[in-house]
This record gives sequence, structure tokens and C-alpha cells, in this order.
Amino acid sequence: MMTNVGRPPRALTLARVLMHATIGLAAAVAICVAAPLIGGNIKLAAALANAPWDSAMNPDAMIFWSTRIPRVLLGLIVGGSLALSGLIFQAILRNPLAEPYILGISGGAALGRMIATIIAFGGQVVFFFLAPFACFAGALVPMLILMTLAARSRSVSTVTILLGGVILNVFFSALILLLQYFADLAQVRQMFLWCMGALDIVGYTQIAVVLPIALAAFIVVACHARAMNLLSLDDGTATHLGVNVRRGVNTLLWTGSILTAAMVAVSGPIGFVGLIVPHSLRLIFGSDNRLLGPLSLIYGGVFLVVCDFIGWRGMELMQAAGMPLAQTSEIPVGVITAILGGPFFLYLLITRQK
Amino acid sequence: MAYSLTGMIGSAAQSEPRLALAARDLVFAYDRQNAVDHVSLGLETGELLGLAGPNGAGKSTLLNLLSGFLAPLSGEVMLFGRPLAALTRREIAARIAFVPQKTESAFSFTVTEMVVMGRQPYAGLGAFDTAEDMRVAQEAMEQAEIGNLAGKFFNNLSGGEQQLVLLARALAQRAPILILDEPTSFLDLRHQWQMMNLMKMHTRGGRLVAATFHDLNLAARWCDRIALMHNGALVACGKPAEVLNARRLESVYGIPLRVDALPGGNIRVEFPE
Repeated sequence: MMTNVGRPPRALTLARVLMHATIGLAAAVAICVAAPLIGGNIKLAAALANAPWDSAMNPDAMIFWSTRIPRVLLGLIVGGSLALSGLIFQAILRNPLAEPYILGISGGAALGRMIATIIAFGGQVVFFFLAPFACFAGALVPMLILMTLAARSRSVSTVTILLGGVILNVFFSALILLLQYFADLAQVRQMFLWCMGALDIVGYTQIAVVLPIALAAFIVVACHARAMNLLSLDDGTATHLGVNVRRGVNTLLWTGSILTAAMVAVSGPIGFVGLIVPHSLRLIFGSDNRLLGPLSLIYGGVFLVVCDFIGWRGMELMQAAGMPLAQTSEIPVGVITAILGGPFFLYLLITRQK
Repeated sequence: MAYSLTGMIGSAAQSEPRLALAARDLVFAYDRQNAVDHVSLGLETGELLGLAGPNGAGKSTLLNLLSGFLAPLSGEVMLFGRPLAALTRREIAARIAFVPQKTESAFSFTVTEMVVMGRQPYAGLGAFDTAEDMRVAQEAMEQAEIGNLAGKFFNNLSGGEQQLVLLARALAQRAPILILDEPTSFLDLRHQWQMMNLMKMHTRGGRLVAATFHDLNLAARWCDRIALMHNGALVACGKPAEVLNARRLESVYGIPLRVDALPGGNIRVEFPE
């Protein structure tokens, strides 16, 4: 494969980044147009041809605009953000296996939200504003542990990362189970579904909340992309080439954690996007974060929308293709990414043992 | 020589040597014992200074203090007359280029990508590579004679090749001071020769080059001055023939060593029979 030999030496210019980003955006637009049109009960083509904006006259069009479109848009934002935070953690921890879900950051955020659910159950308005902060508060615990590790020595080994993440995740799961044990049945069902990570129950409000956070994080990454390249080598190299290591690492850690927490707040803990997407992009485009930043944002979104579509319409389409399925239902997107991500993670772990 | 004497070395040329780096009474400790123990040392432009001493003598620590990567417990470093602690990382990086002994990367960067990173001190926020960056990087790779490796992955290279890439990256930094940590440790004879000549050439262009060495004969042959360290302290500093005498070397290294005088004022350090 080409990746074992090398790549032709070329300057990384804005034009090259824009070219690759444009191709990615075209793919994103295509998937966002296609996914909402396929499947489901409504006759969309007819509905959209006839009074597409009039929801009173045309309830089918209303379903399209108020549930299907926000679902793919949120998928784009959440997927892109998760891939971007994976990229951040990989650079500052110098470990291609680092990822918000594996590091326990998503789990911490989920626990925070569970606690908020118990406290604010019944008060939906309170809860809507409380949830992102609760997620962030929960994400702070694993983040502070990471920062302690990072402050001591940032060459955190693969084993430490895995062990720390596994233990944190087990711990958070136990606490979540404990909360569920004491919650009433309606709450338990809601929590259970939410913990699988899903994009289905959304409106434009959530998008309005997470889009600015995602864009702000992307700007931080774009401004620190060169520093991320150097930080991914070692502190001495970064320092000797003019990077303020402590400031850079702190800025990036906070950015990655806030980004993850915001996404968990709207979609639940969705794993492995931050692992699969940046790694695949590296195989094709190399390791320069100036290129990987925008591409992770775009292709992370594309990847999650595709995964969500598989879970959303997969069984329905299989039945339509003649497979003998007794009944069809939607599978939460978090289950799909985990099914893809688990083996991918193992593959990386095995191939990296030299 | 395959490399040209233009560009990289011409810019810093000047007649009068002046104080580039000055260490004043530096102290640094990792645990309780002082790794660098009250060291004062002045380094001038246009000189090649070799830092020698046994393992654990504090050579690398001293280099890292001089380059500003480590902050001294007491004492201070002056860079062209200004305290190092008062300068930003970027200001320092435009003046001091550092070549580590080795670098491990968890990610696959190509040789060109690694060398272009040397342009970091001159790049804006999130900046992309300019034509100037590529030209300087290209020139640096030619000087280090690694033009043929340009598209290869850094991680797949041998230790010696990696060391040359790190040298090229430092050259691309275009800094008036070049500090190298055991620059010849992984190099074969041909590349040791090339590395030493390259360092010497840069001092003639007006740069200060400081490096640690284990091979005293290599250091004695090429360096203008040698600073000998032992247990964190500076034992002696001066012309190689003055610093490297048998009695001093025996007390520092703990084994009897023979020092032969060679014609032309050079010396040769030999193991005992």
C-alpha cells in the first residue's frame, strides 16, 4: 500500500485544503439530501411537489421539515464534532487510540445528564437548559484526571489510556445503573434509550445550541493545527519550535471536552466516531492536522449520518429487498457505531503491536 | 562538498564574535541532587563548542537550560543580552534551533513535513506552507543530504537518517544559534564527517553551534572549545588540547586514558592498553 512507502513531498496550501474540503462538502450535501427522502411512510415526492412549505395543508411535508431534516443536520454536526474531538485528544495525548468515548469523557457527560434527569424530572424547560451544563460537569471528572496525567507526562501509553478509560467507563456505568435502580419505570426507559446514543428526537433548537459550539471549536482547532502537529511529536520539539506547550495543551483539552459534552447533551454518548474517522482520513491524507481538522469535521458528519441512516432505515430496506424480517424497528445510531467501532479498535490495537 | 555556501550560512555572517548565550550560575535539579550545579559559561557567535563528560554529567540538562526548554532553579540565561525567561517561545525559536538526539512520532509524517515544521517560528496562526517555506526546507534537506528521503515516512527511517532529518529541520529554522544533543550518536563514519563539517561551516557563517559529544577525538578535532562536565559541574572549558589532559580525564571518567599529542596541535585520546 502507498502508506508504507510515503507521499510525494508537497506544500500544504489553503488551495489544497479547500479542494479536499469541497469534495467532502459535496458528499455531505448529497447524503443530507438523499437520507431524508428514502423510506418511511410518507409519500415524500408528492408531498414536497405540492405545497412544500405549508404544514397546515400538508402534514407529510411538515414531518419532512420538522423531523427528518433536523435529524440529518444534527447528525452532521454531532458526527463532525466527535471526530474533531477525537483528533484533538489524539494529538495532545500522542495516541491514535485516544477518543472521547474511550477516554471516558462521554461516559462522564452521560452520568452528569442522568443526575440532571433525576433532579429535574417533570420540569422539561429547566431540564433543557440544565442538560448541557450537567453534561459538562460530568465530563469534567475524566477531563481533570486526563489533565493530571497530561501534566505529569504527556506520553501516556496506549495501555494507560485503555485501562484508564475502561475503568472510568465501568465506574460511570455502575453509577448510571444505580441511578436507574432508584428511578421509576418511565424514567428508566427514557434513560436507557438515551444512553444508547441517538439522533431521532430532535428539533431545530438543539441544532441552534450545538452549531455555534461546533464552529467555535473548529476555529480553535484551525488556529492550533500547526501546534497540534508539533505537540503530537514531543514537548521538547514543540517548545523548541516556538509553541507554548502548556497553554496549547490546556486550550485544546478544554475545547475537546466542552465539544464532547455539548454533543453528548443532545445525542447521548455515541462512541468510536472520533476513532474511525480521523484514522481513516490519516491513511488517505496523511497526518497534518491542518488538513485533518476540516476533513474530520466534514467526514465525521458524513459518517454519522450514514450510520444513523443504517440504523434508521436499514431493517426497513432489508425487508423491502425481500429479507424475511418479522418486524422492523429503528436501531439507535450509537449501537451502529459501536458495532463498527469495536472491531476497528481491535484491528488498530493488533496492527500497532509491532 | 555537495552543499552550497550561500543562503543559510551567509545571512548571519559578521566579523566580530559577540556573546550569543551566557549562562550565569545555573542550577537545576530533577530530584534532590543537582543535575546542573552552579554552571557559568559564555558562548560566542562563530564558535563551535563541544560539551563532553560521562553519562549523567548534566550535558543534556545544560543544553535544555540553554535552549530554554527547562527553567533553572536559580541563575539565568542571557540570549544576545536579553534574559531568556523574558522572551516568548516564538522569539526564542527564531534565535535558537535545537536538534534532539531522537524523536518518536505516534503519527506518520513524511520527511518533508517534518522539515517544514522548522518554519513554525515564522508562521502565523494556523498558517499554511508558503513557497518560501518550501524553498528553505528544500535547501536544508540538500545541506543535510537527505533530498532522496523527502517523500519517505520519518518513522520508517533508520536512527541515523532520522538524526539528519532533525538536523535539516533545525537548519530550516534559520536561527543564529544551533544546539545539538549528541548529533553523531547514530551516524556512520561518512555522516559523522559530514555532520562535523556542516557544523563547522555554519560557525564560519557567524552562527554559534554547541553540541554534546561522547567521542572526544571527534570533539577535539573540530571544536573551537570544549567544556568538560562532571557531576553537574563545569570542570574545565577551553581549547581542546588544554582541557583534555590525561589526569583530568582520568578523574572525570574514572579510567586511565592516554592522551597523545598529534602534529598540528591536535590530540588523540586512547583507551589504556
